Amino acid sequence: MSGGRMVECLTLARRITATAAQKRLQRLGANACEPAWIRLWATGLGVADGKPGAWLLSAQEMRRALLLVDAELPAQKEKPSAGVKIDSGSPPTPEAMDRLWLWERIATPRHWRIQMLDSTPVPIWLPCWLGYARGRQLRLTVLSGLSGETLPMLKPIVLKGLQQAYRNGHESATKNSRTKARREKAV
Amino acid sequence: MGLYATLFAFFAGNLGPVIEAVNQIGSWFYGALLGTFLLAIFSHRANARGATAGLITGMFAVWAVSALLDISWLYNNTDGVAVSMSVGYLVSLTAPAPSQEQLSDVIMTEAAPDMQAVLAARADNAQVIGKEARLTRRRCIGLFSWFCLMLGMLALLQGWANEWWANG
Repeated sequence: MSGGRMVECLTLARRITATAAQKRLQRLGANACEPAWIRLWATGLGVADGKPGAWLLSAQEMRRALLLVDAELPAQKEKPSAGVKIDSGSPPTPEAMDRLWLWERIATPRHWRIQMLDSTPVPIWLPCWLGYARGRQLRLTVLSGLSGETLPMLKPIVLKGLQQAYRNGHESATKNSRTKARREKAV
Repeated sequence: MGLYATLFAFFAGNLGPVIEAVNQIGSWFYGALLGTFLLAIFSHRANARGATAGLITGMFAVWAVSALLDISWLYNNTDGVAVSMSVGYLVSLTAPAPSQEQLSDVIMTEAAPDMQAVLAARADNAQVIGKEARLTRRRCIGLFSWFCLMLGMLALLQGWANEWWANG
């Protein structure tokens, strides 16, 4: 929902297969992996009054944004398939997006002239792979489903989403067991 | 401040090249400071009392070693780190450990006990990858061992060179 009207959530096509993701996560020390989808907000980037040549993927809680260099978002028609779905929440404020884009431009000075286009952020589902590395502590690695690179900036959102999913799972399990107990009592 | 800098500039002329002088003076403080930071990063048991004691003792140890022993000033950083970390940790044990609330501001959410339970539940149901992780850890341990070996060999080489220089 944005600006009081429904905006369709695009789904980016997963390019990194399970085998490729496993290979990459193996090198990073992971013992287990699973697919995931993260809902982010895409804002067009380009020269003033022009069409977008790249996209800034961000969320309110992110400290660094993701940059997707493509004129068109590589979307697929199908809705997100198997895997945990994590929602990053409401779209980032214009100030937050300005700050995120400023960081990206500082990090890559050749992007300095590129501007953030004045458009409403589009919600998108970003495909990811989550790797779990067991050691003294369990470590989480977030891998991009588009490029295969690690995305540490998404970790806080993923951890929050997983915690939410865990709580929801527990609540529904408790509800189910209570309903079952009531039915058994009634019988 | 300007007066101090001007006076120090007269004195600094006797210290040799500028870079060496800067590092030489810095080595009295850098080690203890690094030790305090490392203590805070690697130990959840460290507290303010330990950190302060470690910092002061580390600097004092550097002064004591450079005044009493005839060793290169390059070792000052190592002395400072070792003393500030060990003293800092031991002194921390004499005061209560930081509370979970205090730690929650500085540790990653991932390491928190409730988050570990969530990750464990997910990892148990996720697809198993293989035993490569063990190999990665072995590689890391191997690299660290190689680093320690090189450090030891360099120390031996320096000792031998010093002896050869003194005798010949």
